[in-house]
Amino acid sequence: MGTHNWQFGRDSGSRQTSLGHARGSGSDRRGPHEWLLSRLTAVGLIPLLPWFLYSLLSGVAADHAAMQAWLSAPGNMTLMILFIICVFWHGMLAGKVVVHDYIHGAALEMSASVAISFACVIMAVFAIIAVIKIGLGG
Amino acid sequence: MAQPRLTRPISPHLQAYNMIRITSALSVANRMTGGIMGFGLLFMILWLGAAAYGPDVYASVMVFLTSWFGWLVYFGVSVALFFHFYNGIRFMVWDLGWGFEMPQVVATGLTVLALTALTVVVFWAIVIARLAL
Repeated sequence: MGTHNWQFGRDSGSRQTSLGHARGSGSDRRGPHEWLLSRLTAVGLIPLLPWFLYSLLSGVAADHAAMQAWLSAPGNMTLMILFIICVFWHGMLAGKVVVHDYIHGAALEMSASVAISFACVIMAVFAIIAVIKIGLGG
Repeated sequence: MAQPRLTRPISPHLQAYNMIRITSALSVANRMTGGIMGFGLLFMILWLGAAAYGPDVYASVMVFLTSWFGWLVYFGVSVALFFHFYNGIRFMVWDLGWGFEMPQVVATGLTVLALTALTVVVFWAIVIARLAL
């Protein structure tokens, strides 16, 4: 999950030496949680992705009226919002892992990581609001 | 905030692997396909956003979204997506502790490639059939 040099959430009972701690080396002990979230969002996408592709094949994107008819069904709106949450959360975690793996240097690494988080949250919120607005007939 | 002076272990990059091996090739492909789908998400945002702004905006944006460039993107994203979908399930099987023997790694890898090719063909056959109707 990469070395998060700037994070301070370490376990005080850690056997890490104070020098290692001061230098920001070693695990920050948050990796397992992010790993689990990336797997849980992936598990969610196993049914949601085929549903989304099936919807597209059914012609929901054909025109605005078809989009509205599709998303005005509460079940479809729910599944689409869940799909958006899982996709962007999964993508955000994955993008940050790639940044921490390949970009070195605390300032650049943190900037790229924060940029990915912000971009994913902004896009997810916009997509969810769009889905609700279309579905409620805006 | 300062970088540690000691050299810490870092994740191996592309040049560390023999890319001809199915093990490393599929691992790298998993990340690359993830990146391609990230690009595809921009199109989803454009599509949903356009619909949220009403029928006129939707019709205008759909001209771009159904252009040859759009279809090229959807084809590329679909290949990435089906690969990532099946390979992701392969990763979950590993997470459950099964499939680490080399013959299994090769067999599941080839299965992922075969299923990806099959799904791409079936999916696009349906798309073309629907467009032709």
